[in-house]
Amino acid sequence: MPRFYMQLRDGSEELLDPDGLEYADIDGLKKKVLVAVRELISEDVKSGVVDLRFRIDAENREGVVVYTLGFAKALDIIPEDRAHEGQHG
Amino acid sequence: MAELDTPLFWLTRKLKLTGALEEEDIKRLGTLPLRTERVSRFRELVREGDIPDQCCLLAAGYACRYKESLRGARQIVSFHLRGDLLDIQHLFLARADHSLQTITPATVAWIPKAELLRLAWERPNIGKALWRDTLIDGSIFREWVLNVGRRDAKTRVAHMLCEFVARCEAVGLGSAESFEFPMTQEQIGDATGLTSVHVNRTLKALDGDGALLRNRNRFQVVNWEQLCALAEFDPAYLHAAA
Repeated sequence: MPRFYMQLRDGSEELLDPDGLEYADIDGLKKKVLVAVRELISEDVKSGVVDLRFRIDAENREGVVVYTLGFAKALDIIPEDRAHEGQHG
Repeated sequence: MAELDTPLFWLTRKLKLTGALEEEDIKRLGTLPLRTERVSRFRELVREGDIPDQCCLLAAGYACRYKESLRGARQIVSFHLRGDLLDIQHLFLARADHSLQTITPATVAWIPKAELLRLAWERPNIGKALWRDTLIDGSIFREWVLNVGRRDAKTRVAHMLCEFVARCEAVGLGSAESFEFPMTQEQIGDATGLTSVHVNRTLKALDGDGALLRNRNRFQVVNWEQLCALAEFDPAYLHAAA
C-alpha cells in the first residue's frame, strides 16, 4: 500500500509528518485528512482561536502533493443572520 | 538472584517490587518453565477472543495492549516495557478481552498458566505480588481514562510522556535527559485518542514551550518539573512499582 505524509502548512510555516501512514486508496486518504483537519479545528475551537489559514497537504514518498484540504473547506459555518430553513425553520 | 537481564531476572525484579519475597519464593520462581522467544515488531502476542494457556512476560522491547471498536478504530490502553507481566488476568479470566502487540522487536517469556497459578497458591507472597501487580495495572488504567476523558490534547500527550519517562527510569531505560520513544505518532494518537497530525502539532507545541526537545524518536526533557506541571503528572498512581 502506498504511504502518504500529512504536512500541515499555512502560508509561512510547515509541520512535517515524520512517519507517514499507508492507505489502501485515495478515498481512504481523503477521509483521514478530513478527520485530521476537523480534529485540529475542534481543538482550536476549545482554545477560542480558529486559524483557517492552515491546510493539510498529503504527499507521497516523492514529496508530490496528491491531495490538499484547507481548514476552511473542511466545515460549513452557518452565519447567524441566515434564516432558519428545513427542519429548523 | 537470577542472572542479570534474563526473563527470570525481570520476573523476580517485578515481583520483588510489588511484594515482599522470601528466599524460598525466589528459588521457586527459578523453577518456572519459562519459554523465551524473540519476536518481531507488531507481533500479536494475544488477540481478543483467544483462550490463552500461558502468560507473557516482556523481557526486552516494548508492547501495548489495545482494543478495537466495531468500526475498526484502535485504542491503545497501555504501554509496556521490560519486566512487565502482560496478561496475568488470564490466570482467572479465560478469554482475552483485549489484544496484546509488540511495538518494537522484543523478547518475551511464556509462562504456563497452570504453573504460575500453582506457585501463587503455594507461595502466598508470590500470589500477593501478582495480585498487587494487577491492582497497579488497574490504577494506571484509571489514570488513562482520566487522561483521555478530561485532559486537553497538550496535557494528555505530556502526561503520557511523563508516565513513559518515569517507567523507563524505573527499569533503567534512560532518564528524562534522554530517552528513546519507540512509538510512532500514530501509536501516540491511538493511546491518546488523537489523530497523528494532531499529535505532531501537540509535540511541536511542547517543544515550543521549552519543556521538550525532540529529534525524531529520541526525546530530551529539557525541564522535567515544567513538563510534569504541564502534564498534571503525579506519579503516585504508579505506586512506585510499575
